[in-house]
Amino acid sequence: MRYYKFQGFAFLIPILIIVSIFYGMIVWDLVAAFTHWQGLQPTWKFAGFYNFSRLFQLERFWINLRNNILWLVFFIVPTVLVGFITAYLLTNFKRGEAVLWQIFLFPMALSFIITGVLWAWMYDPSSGLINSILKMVGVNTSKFGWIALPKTAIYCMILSAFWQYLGFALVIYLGAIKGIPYEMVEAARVDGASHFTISFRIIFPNVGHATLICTTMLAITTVKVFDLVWVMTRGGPGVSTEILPYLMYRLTFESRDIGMGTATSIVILIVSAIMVIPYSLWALKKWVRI
Amino acid sequence: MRKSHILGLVIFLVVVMFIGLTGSSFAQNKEEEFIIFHYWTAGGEKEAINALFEIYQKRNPGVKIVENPVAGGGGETMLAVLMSNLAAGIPPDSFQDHQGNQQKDYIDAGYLEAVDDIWSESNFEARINPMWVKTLKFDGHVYSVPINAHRTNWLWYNKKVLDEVGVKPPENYDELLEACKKIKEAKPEISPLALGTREKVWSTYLYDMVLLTTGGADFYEKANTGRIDFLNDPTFRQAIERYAALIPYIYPWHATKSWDEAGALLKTGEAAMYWMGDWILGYYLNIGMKPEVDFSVSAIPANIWMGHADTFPLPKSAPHPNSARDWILMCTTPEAQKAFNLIKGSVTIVNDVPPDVYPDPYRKRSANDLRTLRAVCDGFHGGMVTPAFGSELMDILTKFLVDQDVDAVIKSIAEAAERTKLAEACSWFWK
Repeated sequence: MRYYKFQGFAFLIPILIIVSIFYGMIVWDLVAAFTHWQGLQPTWKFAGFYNFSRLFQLERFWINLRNNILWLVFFIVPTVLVGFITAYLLTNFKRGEAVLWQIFLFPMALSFIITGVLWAWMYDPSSGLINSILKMVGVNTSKFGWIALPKTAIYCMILSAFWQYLGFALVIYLGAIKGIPYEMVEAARVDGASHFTISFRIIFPNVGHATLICTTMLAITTVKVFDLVWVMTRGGPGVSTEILPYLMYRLTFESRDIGMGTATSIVILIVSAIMVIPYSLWALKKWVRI
Repeated sequence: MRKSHILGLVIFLVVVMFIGLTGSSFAQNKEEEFIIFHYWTAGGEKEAINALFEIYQKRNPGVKIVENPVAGGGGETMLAVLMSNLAAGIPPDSFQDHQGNQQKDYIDAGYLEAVDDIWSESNFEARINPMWVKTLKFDGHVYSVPINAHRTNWLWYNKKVLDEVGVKPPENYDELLEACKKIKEAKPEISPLALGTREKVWSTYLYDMVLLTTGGADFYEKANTGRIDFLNDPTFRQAIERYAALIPYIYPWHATKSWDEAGALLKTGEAAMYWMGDWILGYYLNIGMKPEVDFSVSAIPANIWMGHADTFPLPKSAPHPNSARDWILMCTTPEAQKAFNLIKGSVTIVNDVPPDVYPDPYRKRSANDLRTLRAVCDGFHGGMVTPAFGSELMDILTKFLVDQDVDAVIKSIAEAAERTKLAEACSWFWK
């Protein structure tokens, strides 16, 4: 047994080096966040919570955080709900399931960059697809700015991400629903339960693991929608669609304020950890049985 | 397999991995090279830098030119790659930079080396507009040579629309506002002024214009270096009010347009005028617009040249200092300046290239104005403001473009100037 342990460890060395570089960078980031580092040259002078207090004083930071929360709520809830309902309907559709499945899954194959470009074209107020169609049916579109208006921009953006990730939720739920013993559903049906009752009283509680995977994965996605923001609005109009990772980039590379940029990244790390740790604990319990 | 064999194999693999990671840098240095980072990769720009490479190659036949050798080092990612390379102590031999506060960060960090000798050798200071000296000299030293001058106080306009409405091309702010009003009245379906704020920086170009036309060149320089009391200065308030007065005439969906897409609104007839630097000229010619038929341009204000330069600095401990110094020296020559700028769409920094070498009337005028008029640097790209303040300014202004709240924008600008210590950071300009 010792033999295998030693060999196992020896073969892990290369990956351990890479992983330690990765964690080393997080530590470096953490240290930099507590220094007076503004401009291009590291100072390594301890500054306490100076960067964080400057960051929290920025109105923009709170707008960013609010936007991140908006993403969490308005992206995850609809995607999970609609994903579940569509999956339930698909399992009842005996025909064409495979085809529909492909159609819903297709956007998943795209990157956020392509989704962003595509939807930004559609949302374009003067020549975009949406306003063109509305004009054709006689709607006055002069007030419909979509991503050009601060009030609607973020929701328009969330909708495009919803379009992309619906397939993901669908596939997870399809797999989970197929794993439920058929007798349970059949018994409910014999007892005269409606579709609503079957789906939300019987199936939904039995696919809790799928919901957990879905919400966690989608939550992680919301933390890294940088590319979509970059392509569609660059945080505009004003700062109305900025999210924390975007702020981190702007502070670091545009304002060249590394201290505040790293402080932002630490906030992102904490937020992500809060979202991922419950899932990790559950996953460890379920599959590794610690 | 024995324990020791496996251990040996693993050590071998680790060593190979490290050689793979670091070996490439050992392999270099054998032949003389010149490593340069730039982001001129689009059509027209690429040819312009290639023209410089050609001249350089003639001067230095044995030197191999290495462009952007870091993967992903082109375009917008160049800056991030450059910053980490400089911090890691592996600088290129030269890189594309701007002037003023944009360059000062590198100098403060100790990344650049002075090239005073190259300036004196080529008698550079006497051959350029004094403004360049003012924005390139830090504590008596210069660290780079500018290669081109882009004028940014240009108002491009759709000739047909202005003729139809019957307004003469505006040459000052009042005429511009008047023209906007007339166009809006005569043709309510088109936007008098195009703007694209997908890249938010273009909102600061209008800000520069109102500062310059309201308070003049001296006030402009003071305001952009934080030497005014933003909250209480009446001229500054007036400038912001003038900005606000233009907003109703600006293309309403500016947030969705990039600078070139906004420029195209002049071609489609959706907008009448466009405040943009002279790089748009190349774009207009590319999309088939005819100069003096479809479009023309006027300078606001007509008696000031505003713009910025691209520069090539010399990094400290550049791997091939001789190659780098010769590159920078070459950039001071009229030959290199002319070859680059004819293709790039800009004008030369040096006054000894005659303005009539340019094929179009706009650059003839720009070159002539740069030789004779008072010149100022534009705010963000020209490095009048610090990158930190500029970055906040564009967010404030793009918000202002939507809510038009004059008091709020003045307060925000004052706070941003305070927070980023604008006056302190720009004190070098007044030394």
